[in-house]
Amino acid sequence: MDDKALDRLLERASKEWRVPVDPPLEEIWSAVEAAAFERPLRRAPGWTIVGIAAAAALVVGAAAGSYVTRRGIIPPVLNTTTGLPGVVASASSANDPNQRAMGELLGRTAVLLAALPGDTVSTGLDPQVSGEGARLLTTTRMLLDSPVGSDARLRNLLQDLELVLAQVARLEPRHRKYEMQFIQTALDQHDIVPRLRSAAADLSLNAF
Amino acid sequence: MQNAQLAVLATADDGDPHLIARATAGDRGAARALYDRHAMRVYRLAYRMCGDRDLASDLTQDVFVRVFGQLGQFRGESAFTTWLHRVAVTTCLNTLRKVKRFQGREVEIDHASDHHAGEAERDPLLQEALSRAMDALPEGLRIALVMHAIEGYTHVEIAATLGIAEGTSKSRVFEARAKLRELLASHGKEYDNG
Repeated sequence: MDDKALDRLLERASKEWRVPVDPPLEEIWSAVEAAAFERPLRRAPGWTIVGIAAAAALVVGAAAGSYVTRRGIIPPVLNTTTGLPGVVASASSANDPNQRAMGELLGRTAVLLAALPGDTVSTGLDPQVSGEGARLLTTTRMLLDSPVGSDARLRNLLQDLELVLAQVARLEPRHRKYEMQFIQTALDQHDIVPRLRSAAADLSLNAF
Repeated sequence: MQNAQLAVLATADDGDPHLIARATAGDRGAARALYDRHAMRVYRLAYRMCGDRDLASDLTQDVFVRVFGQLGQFRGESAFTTWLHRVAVTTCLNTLRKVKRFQGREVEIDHASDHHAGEAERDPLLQEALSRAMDALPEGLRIALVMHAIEGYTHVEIAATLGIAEGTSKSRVFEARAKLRELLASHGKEYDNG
């Protein structure tokens, strides 16, 4: 290709290559106006939702603890006084840090995913969301290396949660639509929310 | 920056200082007027760089949110257009790097979805081959070529926006053209006839 051919190509490109069709300038302005001139939309939940979320986390946490013990993922801890497993051991298992962490992780992740904005908005994001994502990511990685991670089903779920939480942890207050779309894609591709619900339901059945 | 560069860009900014002063004082109508004057050009540049409607929208939004957020710090030492486009270029390049990292690690975006209604009827060879070749250029060369050869910025404008000498802008465009020729060599016959 000589210079003249390249000139012709670039001239055509200026008219035909990546020419924006009907740019959504009005829509963009609305988002700019909301982000730059209005108080950023904080997604901090109200007290009712906080209460529900805390209760849900407690229930799922208790159920998760019971579930991992019943499946033998974490061996019952012997009572230091009697040396016997059983009821005493079951009571002490509630204090196992892995079980507590697993339960908390499931509950808090469910709350976090529910609090994420949809992929069609690109407004202010509460910085606590990414902070919570980072904390849950750390817990997830620790649990992957713990006895909990030896259960194939839980391990798969934890690995998928790790992928999503890593993206949530990177979200900035002024996140972009495509970042939320990537998270939504990961959630959809790996059926994470249904699996999380399913695991929580199983945990409830096993717990009560 | 050269005075000549500032003078050239300032002609595109007639009326901006007044709007900037009002917008800084909280006049949303003035901010909207500034947006109306410059949004299309920022959007076009973003779209040329990324080829994705949603991403171009996000980039344009980011640029104006940043600019309006820092309007009080704008001292008028350069033309508003220069400052705006500098923010636009920085935002585009930073975001595209981030998108590439996301794409490389986790998601393979279907490139076909990048093309939207109205582009489908156009020469697919041009759309695909040129996109691929452009994306393969080093970003410093790509932005200079897109701004100059595709969007029609002058070397003076490019130099002012990128904070480089006018001669550097010319040499970048020259180098970009040479690399583009190499990258498009296999399609040379088609375009030679075009």
